[in-house]
Amino acid sequence: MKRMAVLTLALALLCSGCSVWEAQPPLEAVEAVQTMGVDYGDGVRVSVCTGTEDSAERIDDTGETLRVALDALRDRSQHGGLFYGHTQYLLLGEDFARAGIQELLDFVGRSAELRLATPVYVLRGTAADAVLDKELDVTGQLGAMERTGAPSVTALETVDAFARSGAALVAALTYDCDAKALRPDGCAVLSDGRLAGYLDARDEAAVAWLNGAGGESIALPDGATVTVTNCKARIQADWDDGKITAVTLTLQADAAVDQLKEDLTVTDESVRRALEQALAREMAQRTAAAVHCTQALRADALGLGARLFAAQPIRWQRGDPDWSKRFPNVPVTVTVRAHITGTQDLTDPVPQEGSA
Amino acid sequence: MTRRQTNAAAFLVGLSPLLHVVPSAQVKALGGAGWLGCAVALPVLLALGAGLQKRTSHQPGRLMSFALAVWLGLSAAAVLHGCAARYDTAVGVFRSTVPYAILLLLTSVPAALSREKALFRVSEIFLPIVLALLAVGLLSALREVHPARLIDLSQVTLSATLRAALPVFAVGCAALVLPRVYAGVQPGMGTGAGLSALAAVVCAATVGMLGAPLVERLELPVFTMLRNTSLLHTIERLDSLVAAVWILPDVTALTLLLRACGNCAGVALSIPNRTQTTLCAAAVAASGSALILAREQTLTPVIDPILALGAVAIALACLICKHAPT
Repeated sequence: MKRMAVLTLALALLCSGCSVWEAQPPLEAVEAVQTMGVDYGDGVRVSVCTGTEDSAERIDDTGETLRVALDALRDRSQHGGLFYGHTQYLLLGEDFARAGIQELLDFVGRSAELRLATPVYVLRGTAADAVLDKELDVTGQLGAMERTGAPSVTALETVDAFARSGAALVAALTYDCDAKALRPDGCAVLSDGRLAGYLDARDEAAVAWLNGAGGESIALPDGATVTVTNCKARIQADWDDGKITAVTLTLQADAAVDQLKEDLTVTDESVRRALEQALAREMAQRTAAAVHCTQALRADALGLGARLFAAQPIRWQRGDPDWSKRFPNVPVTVTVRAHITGTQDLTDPVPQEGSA
Repeated sequence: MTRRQTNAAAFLVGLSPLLHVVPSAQVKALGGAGWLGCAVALPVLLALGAGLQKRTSHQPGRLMSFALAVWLGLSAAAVLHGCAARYDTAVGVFRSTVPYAILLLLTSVPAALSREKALFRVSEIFLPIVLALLAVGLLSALREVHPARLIDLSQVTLSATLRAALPVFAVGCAALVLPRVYAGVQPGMGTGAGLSALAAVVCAATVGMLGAPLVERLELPVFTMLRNTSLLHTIERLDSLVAAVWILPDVTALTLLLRACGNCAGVALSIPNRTQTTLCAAAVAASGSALILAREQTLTPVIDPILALGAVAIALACLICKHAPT
């Protein structure tokens, strides 16, 4: 029994990927790539940033394909040991995204090093500008964004969205060269693998609402700021002769009061109702704007078709929805019911003038 | 052999081919609802396990032994090739399946030549290690699972459900009957059902995380899932660890198949020397594996259903025949 156990465990070591046959660089010489930028122009240009701010190595190279460019980079690395297995972020340049990201996703899916769970961003401009800038801690800033809940979409989620809807939303960023800062700037709308346009930062909250999440703070016109804590989305279609003629999106949102003007007494039922109506109006406007934006770009990036299919699979299969062609022109009505369910610890604002 | 050791060996034998059939076969048949195929196999395997408890086993005749030896030899070849191919894809140090197949044989053949009890005793140690690691992997995937991807029932029909259930049912049958063929001991009634329950969980976790369209195109979806999970942002890339630890069920299954094949061939061909017959079984498995490697595209779609139906037929024979094979 002992002999068998020892033999099997020794074999397990060999099958874990531990290699004594290949010459590996010493561990201290290995540079783990943290952020990878991919641009298009005279082939695929890959720029990588390794390590932390001070000790980071920033290099770029170009190749016919991503694989060729990565191999060229590995050869050029000063330390001789670029390791792609810990790549934390993929930053895609606008031109590359416009040319198509399907091959990149295919490469990541096949790669033993890169992972599909890596967040992907589209940079409005050239990714190499941000990755190669020695004064910008690109990995640190992307990490901070991810931790603070800024929109982030992984390569896996993008693949899944393409497979379901033929379109996907990827978080977009801008690089402020003067301030040396990366800033979230809406969402990139990808259709058939290519960048089709952008969804405004103001309207991207609709994506979270449709997915049943909250978190967005909204400043209402009458002096109150509320945070959507929870949102339920329901989708219905009007069918005529097996074809979809109209779509109704109904959102039911719960919100909590964050900040109030002095004269807004939220305990007053009429004030509360007015705030709820204002919130519903604002959410409906933003959601409708997001839907119309994707319709104009002819990309069902919000996945309305997939949602309708999930809601009525049998009717969808029996009918002839021909959704990809109908989607840009189908009328979509957005209805929102908002409820202020909490005021945090404080009810009404504290009065500034004493009554005594 | 204690009951616990027998159950552990049977479960390990089933775990080896499980990652080859789950969840690809189920997703191809049922889409996102692939887990349903595994769940359907559960009550049937439970009933089969209960039925087999009541059947005593006897030495089969020469013809039956020959048929069993052929099925076991084919199974050993398929398992050897499947495991080597898996290591080549998941680990890929040698960039060829041949060294992995040689290493597996070098471990399994001495184990098959040693005492019967050793395999059962070592299984009791191996099983908790394998299950604990798989549990960690599944737990880390839980956060990424989208339940909506699992309730797509649009492809669910009776024939599709049966197609999805058959591979899991076959693995359960093999786990229930192989210890019986190997050493005349019957695993507990819940062994097959436990395997199908685990298959359903693995299928749901993989499809829920990766989505059916991607799973359908992956060779090793479970390993892709494990590569993309992270446990509290501290432990990542569990796929290498699982690939390494999965050698334990692979060696157990191969050892059991080689020894059982040798035993049956010995009875069928009247060769009393078990060492000779076991070595012959290893040679058959190696050549079969090489043949499958050479003609993978044509042979794999034929061999897999034959082996699955063979496992079901042997389990039914054990249940129905008065003289069930030992």
